[in-house]
Amino acid sequence: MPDRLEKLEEKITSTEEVLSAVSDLTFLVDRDTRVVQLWYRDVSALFIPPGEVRNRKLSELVPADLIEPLQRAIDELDRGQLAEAFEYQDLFTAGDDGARWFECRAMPTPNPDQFVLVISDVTERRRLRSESKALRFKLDRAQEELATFFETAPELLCIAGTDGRFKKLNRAWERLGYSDGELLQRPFIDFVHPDDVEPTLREIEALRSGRTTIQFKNRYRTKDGSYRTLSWNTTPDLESQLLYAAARDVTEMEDMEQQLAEAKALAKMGTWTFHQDFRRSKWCSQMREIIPDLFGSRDNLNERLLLNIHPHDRRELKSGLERSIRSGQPLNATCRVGCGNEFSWIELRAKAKWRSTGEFEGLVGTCQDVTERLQAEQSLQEERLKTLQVSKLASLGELSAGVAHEINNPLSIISANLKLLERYREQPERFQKKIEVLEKSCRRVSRIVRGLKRFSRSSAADARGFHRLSNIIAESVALVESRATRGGVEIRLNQEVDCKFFCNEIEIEQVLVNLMNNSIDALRGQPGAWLELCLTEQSEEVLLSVKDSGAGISKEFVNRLFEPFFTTKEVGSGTGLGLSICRGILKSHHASIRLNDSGPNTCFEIRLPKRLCEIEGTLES
Amino acid sequence: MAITTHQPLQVLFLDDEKELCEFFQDYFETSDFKISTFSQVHEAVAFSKKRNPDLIFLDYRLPGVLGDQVAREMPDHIPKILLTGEIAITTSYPFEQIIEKPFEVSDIERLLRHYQSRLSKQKVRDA
Repeated sequence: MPDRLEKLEEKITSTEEVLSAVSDLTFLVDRDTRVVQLWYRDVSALFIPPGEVRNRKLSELVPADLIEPLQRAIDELDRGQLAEAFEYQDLFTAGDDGARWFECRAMPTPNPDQFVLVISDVTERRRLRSESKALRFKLDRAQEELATFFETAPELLCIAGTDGRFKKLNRAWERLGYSDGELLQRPFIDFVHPDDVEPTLREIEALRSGRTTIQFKNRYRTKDGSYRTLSWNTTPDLESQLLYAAARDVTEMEDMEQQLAEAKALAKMGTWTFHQDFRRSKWCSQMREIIPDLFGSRDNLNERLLLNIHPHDRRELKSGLERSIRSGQPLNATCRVGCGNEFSWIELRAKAKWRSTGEFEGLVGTCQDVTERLQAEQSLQEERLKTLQVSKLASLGELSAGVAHEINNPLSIISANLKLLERYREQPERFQKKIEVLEKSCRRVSRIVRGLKRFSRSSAADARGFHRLSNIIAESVALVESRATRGGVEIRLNQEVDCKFFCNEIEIEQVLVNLMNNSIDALRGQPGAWLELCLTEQSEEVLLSVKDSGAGISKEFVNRLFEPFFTTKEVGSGTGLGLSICRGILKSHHASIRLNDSGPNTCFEIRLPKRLCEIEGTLES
Repeated sequence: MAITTHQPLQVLFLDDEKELCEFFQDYFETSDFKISTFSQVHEAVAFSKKRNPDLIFLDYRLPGVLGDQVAREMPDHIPKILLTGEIAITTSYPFEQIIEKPFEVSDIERLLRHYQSRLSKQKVRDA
């Protein structure tokens, strides 16, 4: 007996264990849903009240939500409509645990009046299922996104095997002109530029050993035979023996960079940025060509730069940089690099940068070697001065014939009258008169000599300043006066105003002498000839005109007047440079000259900008 | 028999430098020399034709005209001396003398004496 009991208990236990394992609650109920038997595993989370449940109605034990489907299941089983088990799922709200899901099943038993009802808490299962569904959805979505990115990325993306063949390519590869098939069939090294094959193979070797490639560049042949430069970032997956790579087509960028570098080399120009945070200061390689010793280290660019500037220019550049940072105005400085007599000239441009917070961030700038340009400018300036000097000497040559006469005449008067002085020693009145004649003649000589000396001096020695125009006019008239008198030309002055003009006075004198000489040459021997110098004020300019009694200039010559080497004078008597030099001189003074052919006479008008004049009021003419 | 009638030498002096004219007048005008000075060309030319002086001094650079041009307008037979302040001149006119300025007063004086004696001798011959 004990054995049988033991066996039975054992069987029950195992059955219960099985039942408990498969469900939360299992009832055996009769047709009226009265409980015949209840197996349960753990009811703590469920609703079965304590105490005896046998013979109690299911409706007393189970929440009302579940009764109706259970009852319906029993009815259907009873009617024989359902031979097998079936299930209902419904939502149930139970106290503190919040919403829970249950699964109910009903099964027939051999006893037609009894049914097995199984109620399982499937909340956890459902949660897991919905979570896995969400996960599946996310995964699908991520894969989809990845595929979209892969296909639409502008970079050339690929997966390749360490065997040297492409496995997967994105659409960007179309730009090489091949079909996917063509690319996949051949080892990718076949497409690489012959010169780049070796470095590419080395790079693949490195990838095989697990290293990552960053910005490795090589050239790929396109279908039309041209090459594109690709910059690669590649990561190997050693396990799958695959290379994941993204390549950027940098052909245009490389071309532009190369062009820029060539242009910079050609212009001898470098670019640089100086950052408050010194580590972020940068300069292009061209800078080293311009200032070889500039960058031993990337410390304070500011100071390294200044150390290389010629000692004479250093202080000025430093204060210029400081001023530029303070004022926000760009700096444009020309200074020497080097020391002593070993130096080159650079033009340094810089602009301060500010953060949006108003804080100083740094400087950006360029640096250009302008040695050649400055030398060319200097020799041009020297040439200009030389031409000016030659032209002046030519004017002097024209003047010299008259000058000798002009000096010798008063000298004659002086020497002759000295003889008379002896004779008049006893006649104070006549003696005094003769002394005056001597003095006057001496003044005449010294004035002419002084004027010539001034005029022949090289312009280079004369800095510009404000010079009174009436003085300039008087000095130039003094130079040509004797020539005019001998040529029978009367000189008239008509000065309505006087002013100081910012100029090189000798150069302006040269212009006037030139114009007056031309007039005298043209008018020589004409009865009643005159030439007039007028100085008048206009709204924007001071007008200085040289007008003469000539009948103007022949129309065919008007357009060529200011051309160099144009002359109507006889061969040997004019250089043909006079007017072109006049125009050059005036242009360098921001002034202009033109022929006013509106009147009956010949009239050259010189316009001096008022901004360079100090007007001193109207004169009584 | 020689008759010496002391006759002054008639001299025309043309120069646009008035001071020089004045000097010529003041210094050389004596009983031996009768000096007439001019600073205007046309007056001098008119005088030379009308008064027929014995000797003419001409300046080279004159207002609007040169001394040799003026010389051509004056009677040919009168000896002419050119005074010039120029460094170098070219002239085709047969001047008796060309004297450079500044001149030595004594040179002029010697010249005047020379022409005066020539005049006297001529007068004697004519007589």
